[in-house]
Amino acid sequence: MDKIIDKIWRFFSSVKLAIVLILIIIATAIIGTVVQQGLPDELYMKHYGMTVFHIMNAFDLFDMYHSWWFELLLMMFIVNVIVCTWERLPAIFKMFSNPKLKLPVEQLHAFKEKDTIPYTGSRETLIKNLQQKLKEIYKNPIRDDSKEGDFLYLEKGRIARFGPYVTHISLIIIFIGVLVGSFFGFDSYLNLVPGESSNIVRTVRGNNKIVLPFSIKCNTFNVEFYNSGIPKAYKSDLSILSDGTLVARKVIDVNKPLKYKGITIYQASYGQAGASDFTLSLTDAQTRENDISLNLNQMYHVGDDTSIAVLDYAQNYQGFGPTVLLGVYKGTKLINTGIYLQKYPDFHGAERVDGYKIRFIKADESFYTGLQVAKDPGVPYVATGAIVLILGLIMSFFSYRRRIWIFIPDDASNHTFVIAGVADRNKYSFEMEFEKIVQEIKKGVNI
Amino acid sequence: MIHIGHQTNTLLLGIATFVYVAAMFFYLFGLVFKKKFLDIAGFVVFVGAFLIETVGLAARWVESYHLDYGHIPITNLYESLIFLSWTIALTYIIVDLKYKIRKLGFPVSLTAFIFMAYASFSPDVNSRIEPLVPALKSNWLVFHVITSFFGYAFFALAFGASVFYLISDWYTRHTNGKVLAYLPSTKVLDDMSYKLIIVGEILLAIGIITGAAWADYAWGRYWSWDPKETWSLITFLIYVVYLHLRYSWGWHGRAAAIFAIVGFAFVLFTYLGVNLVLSGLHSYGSA
Ligand code: HEM
Repeated sequence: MDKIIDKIWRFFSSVKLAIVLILIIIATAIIGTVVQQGLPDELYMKHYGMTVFHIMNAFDLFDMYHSWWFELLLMMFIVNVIVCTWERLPAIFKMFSNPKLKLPVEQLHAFKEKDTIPYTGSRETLIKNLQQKLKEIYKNPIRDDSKEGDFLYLEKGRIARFGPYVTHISLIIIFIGVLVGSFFGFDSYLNLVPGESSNIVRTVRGNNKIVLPFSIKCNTFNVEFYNSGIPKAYKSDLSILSDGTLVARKVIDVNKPLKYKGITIYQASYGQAGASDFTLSLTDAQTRENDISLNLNQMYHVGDDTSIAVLDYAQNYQGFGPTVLLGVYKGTKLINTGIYLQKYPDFHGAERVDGYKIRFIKADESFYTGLQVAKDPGVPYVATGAIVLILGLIMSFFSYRRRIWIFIPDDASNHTFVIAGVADRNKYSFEMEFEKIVQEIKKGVNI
Repeated sequence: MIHIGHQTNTLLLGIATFVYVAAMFFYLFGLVFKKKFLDIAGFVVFVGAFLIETVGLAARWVESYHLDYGHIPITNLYESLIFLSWTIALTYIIVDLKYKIRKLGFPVSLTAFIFMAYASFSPDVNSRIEPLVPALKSNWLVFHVITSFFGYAFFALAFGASVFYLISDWYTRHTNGKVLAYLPSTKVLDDMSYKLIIVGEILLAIGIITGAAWADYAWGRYWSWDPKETWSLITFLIYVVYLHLRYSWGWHGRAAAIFAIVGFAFVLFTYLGVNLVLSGLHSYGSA
């Protein structure tokens, strides 16, 4: 049993696994950008044909970012980050509290950056001069002695060693936020016509009913357009009612939501709520015009026994623009219907209803406001994680750790000492830095 | 008060396009004839093109206020192409002043020219100043676009450095170790490409995060797997792989250069491909 756990642990502590997982996540995430997500099934069936549809559906390709296998991949990835970080953290703390002040001499000679420098005078003077010089040009060295001689140790950019760990921990914080959001939050929508109120919303995914602890009333809704017809702004004046009493009120705008009790109400969209007010023009035999205004289904007497009513409205009927369906009644009995196009008033030619030529002038349209009602208690964690992520990246990269050892052997017969160094990253920059230090030392120690 | 018309800004931007071409030729002759004064002339002309472009963008910004739309000029395909060439140019100038990478001027001016010419002369790209739909009226958008675009710019320069690396490396191997005198050494190019990627990665991370913050403010959902979001994450992850390969396996040199070049294909797809090939929420696809 322990062996299995050990095996799993080792599996997840590998950076190789991280690379493989990230590449798989990349490859699969691309699928979801090529296959449009979350459309109605019928569209997929039409586009792909039944056989392909069933295969793709079996792999959840139409909602793949929420499929069990994609979530499993993300889970494995986060376990990978946790295990990796956990495993290496002790070494990092040890490095911080207990740097290696001396190394076996053979190891110094194995570094790429190294030099052997001759000196004159006594060992003690040399060490003193070195300490002085290094303090001036680089850093105050730490002195340590071993059986074979003295070491001077220099280190810079240690903080950068923490950077990757801060970055990895930030991923864990973000993940916690995502989990909190998915367990304790919801994301729903609510469409309201001005004057209407509701405390029931429906989730974006799954269309499930959620009952809010308050109701939302839309007092007014306004859309402004640019001349080109593109919407410029849309705003809803909302009231929040708790047990029938007003507890909050705000005009919300896209990018300016209303927050109440941890639930945020966003202006997300708007739509046509059908036209409520229609203007028709009636022209009698003497060509006298008469404009009338009607609501949907409202009867209007054109003769003693004949009346008309607007039965339906379409903003753009088969590409012909705004259109009404008009019903003609004898008494209360519908005897005829006809389509009237705003853009083509002569569509009906000379046809008349009880002596009147009818034209459809305009519809005053009303809109509903599309609200997004969301609660996500995970956001503060995700936001914190995001900031920590950036800090971690900056910590990792704005500096890099490099270490230099200088070894002055007790055996002073050949009058040389060794300098060697190594950098975790930026080997090239370090090469330059190391060269400069060596130059300075060569110039400075033999005074 | 001077009225800056629509023609002024597009005219200035059109002129900048040709000045970039001039800079490109100076740099090219500099590479061919190996004369230092040609490189210097290239740099001076390049900075000139950049300044004209800056004035053009500023004029466009002012003009958008005259039209009562009032927005920073980074919101449709035309503006984004111009702005991207501007960020690449500025990044190059700054990096050049600090690290002396003048030779990169040739691919950089070529790139700036290509983006500007595509913006100015392609029939698919509309140069009119357009109003913003309400969702785009947000300060987060400004941070988001600026950081993302500078991220793209650093990746673009890393791409250039990596291409030079491969050229220099190829030349060295085929001439028995003779180095290409007029390019920086392979060591310098390798190091430069890595450092540029690091800065690009940090900026891209900030870009993704400000984008998420904006989505949270506007729609209450910081992440919705929209194709643009997903591709920017994919690009971020590609470079995460690069950093880990480099750090944990010591990948560098040719392998790293090839990786950086492939990585840039992901950047380009995130920037343009998503809008031109896929569909999603972001604005300039239909421009
Ligand atoms: C999106 C995910 C990740 C990000 C943003 C990230 C970021 C980083 C960064 C910035 C570094 C420093 C690299 C350098 O200095 O050049 C690093 C190093 C490292 N990463 Fe990651 N990483 C991620 C995922 C992972 C995963 C899943 C593992 C698990 C195996 C992992 C393991 C490591 C290790 C072992 C190092 C070296 C640490 C050291 O300096 O001691 N990383 N990572």
